[in-house]
Amino acid sequence: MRRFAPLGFVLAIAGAAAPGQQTPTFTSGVEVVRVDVLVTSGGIPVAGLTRNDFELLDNAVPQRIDVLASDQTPLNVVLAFDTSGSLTAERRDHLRGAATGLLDGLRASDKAGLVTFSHVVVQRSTLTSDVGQVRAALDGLSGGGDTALADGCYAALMLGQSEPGRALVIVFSDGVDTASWLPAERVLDAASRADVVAYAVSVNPAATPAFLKDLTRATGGRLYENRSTADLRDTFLQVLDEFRHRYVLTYTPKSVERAGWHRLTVRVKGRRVDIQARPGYMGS
Amino acid sequence: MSLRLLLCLALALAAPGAGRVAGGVTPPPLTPSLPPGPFDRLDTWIAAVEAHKAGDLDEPARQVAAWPRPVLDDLFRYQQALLTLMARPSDADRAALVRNLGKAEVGRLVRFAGAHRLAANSQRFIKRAVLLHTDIAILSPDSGNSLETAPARPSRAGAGEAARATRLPEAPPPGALPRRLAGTALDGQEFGTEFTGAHWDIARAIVDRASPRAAADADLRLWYRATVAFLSANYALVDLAPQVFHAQLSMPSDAAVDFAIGCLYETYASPRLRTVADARTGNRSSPFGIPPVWRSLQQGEIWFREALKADPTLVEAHVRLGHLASLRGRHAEARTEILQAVSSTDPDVEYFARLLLGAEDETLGDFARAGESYRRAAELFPLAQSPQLALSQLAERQGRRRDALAGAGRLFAMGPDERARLDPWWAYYQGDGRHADTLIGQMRDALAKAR
Repeated sequence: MRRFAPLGFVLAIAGAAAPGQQTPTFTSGVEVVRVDVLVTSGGIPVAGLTRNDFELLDNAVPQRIDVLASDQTPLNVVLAFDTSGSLTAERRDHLRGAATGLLDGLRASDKAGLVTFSHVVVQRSTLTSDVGQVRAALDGLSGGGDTALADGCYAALMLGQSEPGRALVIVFSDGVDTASWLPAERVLDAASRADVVAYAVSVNPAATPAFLKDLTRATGGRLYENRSTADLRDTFLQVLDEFRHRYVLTYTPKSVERAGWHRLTVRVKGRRVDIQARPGYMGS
Repeated sequence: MSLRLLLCLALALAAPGAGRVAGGVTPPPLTPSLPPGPFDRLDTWIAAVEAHKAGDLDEPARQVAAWPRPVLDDLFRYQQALLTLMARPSDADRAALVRNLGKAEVGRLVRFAGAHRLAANSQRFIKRAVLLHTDIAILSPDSGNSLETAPARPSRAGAGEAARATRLPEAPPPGALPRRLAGTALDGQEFGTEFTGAHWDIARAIVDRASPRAAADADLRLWYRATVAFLSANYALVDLAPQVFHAQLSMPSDAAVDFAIGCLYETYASPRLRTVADARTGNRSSPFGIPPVWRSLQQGEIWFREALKADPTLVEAHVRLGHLASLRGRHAEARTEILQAVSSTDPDVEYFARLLLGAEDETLGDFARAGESYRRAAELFPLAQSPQLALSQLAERQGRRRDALAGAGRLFAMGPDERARLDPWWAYYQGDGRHADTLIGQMRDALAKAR
């Protein structure tokens, strides 16, 4: 049986995680597409929707979906922080405080990891449920060097998918890409196939890199353009809260070609709401 | 790494009598702690030239480094006149000196030069003078850039990244140094402006007085190559541009110079530059004098071809030609160019070639060959991150998730120590700058030992 592009899919989920359960069990055999969806009304997440409320089209073909209990699904949260030369001591302290606040908001079943990037991409902490390890890694942050934004984000996407679970990547950057090897478009391609939602916080008084806008759009996340790092903690907590209120739709594609780009359309029936989800995925 | 880019250039006014700065303001008098007259300054300068020890911000160098721009302007006029007299000037040259300084002052200069016996070995003196100003420019980069009249305390290299208040360049007096206002950008963001380049300009002008000229003097050729490498390594583009273009005028058909100009244009087209230059395009007509991307790519190709004409063995030019051809969408041609450098004996050049060849193969759809190229690059520098990222990304786009994660895993296993994780790609846009330390050392030795 020909397989879909692995990074755009999860393997068949044997059972949705019940509250309090650990990571769902993954078995091979049937390919399932997972679409992480944020539904808001007036900027406030809409709760209580069921599979009957959603309509999902894969290349304009309606699909039969399931809805996972997303608020109970363990998270893989990858922090991807720009530690280039523009990271002043004050910004670093704000960043550390914001990350610590976010780590405090994780549940015991969640995992977190830390990737930093200047021109050097470094995994400071692998995905772990021991948030103390991540906190310790945050203590060693310092600024210096150029900015390999695309390289760093690619590494974060990979780390987010290194273990089963709902992957959330939170990128912080106060600069623009000056040093990556990977072209931005290749990383965006990878993001469109990734089973990861990327949120980004840009603190760049000159201009937010287009790459961050594209990355968050490609993964169904959101871009925050903050004036300073002073309110970073609130932003990070808002991201976490919002992510927990998303819906995870799953389906096995029917009546569509497997290869190529799959345009996704997600609607909520009979409601005027705002929906954020990745615009599609790449099949192969 | 910060960038220094040209914001504004004001050249000395050529017209006689145009010696007032913009707005008719006359420069205030110099402070008494400075050598009071032009000949006192020349005396101090000559002593510093003779006493300075190469590579050291020693006392003689510190003394000259402390002189602010108005003092250097004055020194520069007399310095140039003195060097003209040392070179047995023609009648026309003498007439020009008299016009600029007056007959009595030229007469004093002739006696001054004779008393110091400077004409006896002028080439040696010129090389030592070049060394003094080059060392000041390198070791105390802010020196001579203040428009204040009080002497400045020389600052060490690397200490000049704080933002400064902006003053627009005034038109300098005739025969004075050009005024270049530089923007400094860090991490893609512009954060300060400052005047720049006084001692580079002086050193270059002194080199122009050499006989034999730089084109025929190995030490001075090395000076150009080393200083260009240094400025490239520090992304000091505001000082690099006049250096390379002046070098080209002085040494036409010099492969190293043509190569350096190609590298400058390649850098102009790089993401590092465009993020700053393009951010200004909206509100400034001439952002740093940097050409648009298409023209930078085109000019880069022209100069790399010139370099290869002058020296067909300069295989790194093939790599960079291929890179520029790729950026202009000519991937098959890019591949052909890059292939000519994969057997380079310089590991950096082979590494660049392998990486860029992989990228071309990937673009052309030959994933197997791309993977092989990336693997060869990884073998050359096992702790370089770029090949691992490339291999992971290649596997990911082919749907080989396990391999993609394995590639990322190899990257993650490298640890945080940057010094242990040398990736030549980080220095790609520095061109010859990766050899700067070696070249500067060789140049200092050569100029200090000049006879």
